[in-house]
Amino acid sequence: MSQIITLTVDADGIADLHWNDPTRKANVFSPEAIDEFVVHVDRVVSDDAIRGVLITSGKKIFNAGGDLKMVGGFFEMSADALWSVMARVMHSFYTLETCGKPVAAAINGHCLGGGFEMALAAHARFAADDPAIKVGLPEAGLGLMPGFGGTQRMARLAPWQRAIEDMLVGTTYDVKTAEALGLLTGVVPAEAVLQIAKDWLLENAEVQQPWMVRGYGGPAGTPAFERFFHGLNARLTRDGADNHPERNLIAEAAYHGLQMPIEPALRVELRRFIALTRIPTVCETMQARVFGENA
Amino acid sequence: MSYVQIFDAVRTPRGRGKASVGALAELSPVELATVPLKALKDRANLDTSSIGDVVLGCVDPVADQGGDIARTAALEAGYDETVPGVQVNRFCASGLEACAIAAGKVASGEAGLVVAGGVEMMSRVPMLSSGMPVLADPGIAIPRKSIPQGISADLIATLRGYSRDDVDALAVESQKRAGQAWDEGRFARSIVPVKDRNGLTVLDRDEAVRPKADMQSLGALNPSFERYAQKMGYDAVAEQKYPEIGTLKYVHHAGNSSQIVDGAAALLLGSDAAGNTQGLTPRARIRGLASIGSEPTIMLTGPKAACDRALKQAGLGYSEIDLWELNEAFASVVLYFQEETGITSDRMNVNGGSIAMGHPLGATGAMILGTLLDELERADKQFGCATLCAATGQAIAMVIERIDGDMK
Repeated sequence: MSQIITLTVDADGIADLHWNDPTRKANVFSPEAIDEFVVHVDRVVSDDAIRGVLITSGKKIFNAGGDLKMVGGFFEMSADALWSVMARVMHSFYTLETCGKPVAAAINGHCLGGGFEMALAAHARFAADDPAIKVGLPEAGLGLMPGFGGTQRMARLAPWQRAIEDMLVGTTYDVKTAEALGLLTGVVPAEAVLQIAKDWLLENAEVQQPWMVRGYGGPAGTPAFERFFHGLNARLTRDGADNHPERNLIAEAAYHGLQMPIEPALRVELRRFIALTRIPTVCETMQARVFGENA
Repeated sequence: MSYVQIFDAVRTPRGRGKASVGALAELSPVELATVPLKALKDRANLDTSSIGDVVLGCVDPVADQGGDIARTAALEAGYDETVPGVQVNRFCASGLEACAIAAGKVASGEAGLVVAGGVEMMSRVPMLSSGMPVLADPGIAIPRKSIPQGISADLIATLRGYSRDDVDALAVESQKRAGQAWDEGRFARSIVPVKDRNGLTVLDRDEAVRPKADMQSLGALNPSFERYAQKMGYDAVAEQKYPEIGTLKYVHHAGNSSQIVDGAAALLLGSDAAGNTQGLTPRARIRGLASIGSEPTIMLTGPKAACDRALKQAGLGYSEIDLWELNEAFASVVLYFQEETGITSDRMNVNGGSIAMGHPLGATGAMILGTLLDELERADKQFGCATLCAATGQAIAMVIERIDGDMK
């Protein structure tokens, strides 16, 4: 029945959550893909035969994030309706990272935006050692912001100041840089990615996200945290805050989200994502982009 | 109507607010806060069970300065355990705000006597320790174009064209006046030396005063906020909010801004009837008080609006106020107020101010009210007004009238 994502469980109990959208060049989070993804995550939780999850791609582009047409439609939706769409993804990612089964992503190609946010919700990310592969959160470069938990998980995994600065402008990384930042668990030969990721799952049955470990503090509450935002706010104002609402909202999501556990932090981000889609200038820019590309 | 009376006012000397050099830095904030509370009790031989509340200003009420320091200090000062305490914060206005709240408690009949004042140990709990979302929260700071106070002070100077010499001259005068006031014993009635548990003196004189400061020595100091503003981008924020200034100019430095110090102060306020019962002699009555909000980016221009309202309540005009105490948060704040009101410096801060003696944030409002009262008595004057600007665009003012000993 699944057209875009399949879930196949092997003899070791490792479920291959395999993305391979038959109608597109790249895997993306379309409404159809989200529907399928949510169903598969439910199965991961309920099926006792599944001991771990490997996220894989049958396409050269591992995952390019949100389908632009879908994102363009966000601007037409009511806040309620948009919350429903986004919250399904938010919950399914959170379920994956807290269901008690290890999840790893085997990244064999570009992994960007929502795709990278999915990978960040996994407990481990192994990428093919290919300098052409780009990973990261480029949303701000399009005047948008991450909405599937990226602001929260990336700032908790990588050095937080760097992560915030990069998210504000939509910087993407090659895999070596991402590994050095702590965003990838390993960069390995392309032909070995699947096996290494699977081995990792078998060896790490009891894994937890670092931010779910008791005693996790995070960067907030330190003088450095406050000082960073004092300066960041001034710089964003200096550089024309009105022209970049996405930057203000990313900064706000990071500032508040990093001061709380991940679950409410995800809602902090999502509320700001929705707020961004209510801003007329953002809407105009985005719709021009979508229609422009369709034309 | 019956006015709220001031029966007494005391303060500690102010110690330099740097842990490595400040004489008071070895104390805890609670210990420091108990000094004026004990003094009020001892000087009046007060039955503390008659005190309805202890209201203390404190701007960064965290760690050892947190946990409602007013109640803890009341207990530690040996007040009867029935006396509650409440800590309040209106930034730099907190000490006078505590007095205003106390006056309200008396006027409403809630309490007969209230102790009001403030404490700040800046050596132990640095500024901004309790957080400042107006600067830190992107959702607030960015749309509001928030800048830190020092840059607001430079913004005022830039807007009004105050030169480096203008602000330095005011600072030199503050130092000279504070030095002279100390030499003449003008603070003697209020100052309570800080002593250790053995009775050994820890500090008995404002530690930061430099009476010999002159234009030359101040002229050698580098502006405090220039590099910071440029590095952080606050210069551009100020220029966006006030495009008419062109480029922000930097005139404030450590020598013409209020000094960072430790200190505590308290006053005994109450009703006529409660004073009579306790055998207290009123020294002054509160004739008017007001707190206001003003434009938050420039932040420090509110005192005139606060004084307008306090004076209106008192039924007095600017010319009828004999003596003024305006907190010297920054030199430009004083120059701005003088320019706006026409008050000349011979009636204002006549014994120096925070530039010379320091500004223990939560306590200063209570300190300058006591200084004002002492000077009204010494100079045999009738009306005084104490006023302070406060962060995020606020100000407070209180008008008092001295009560002559005989005419009680």
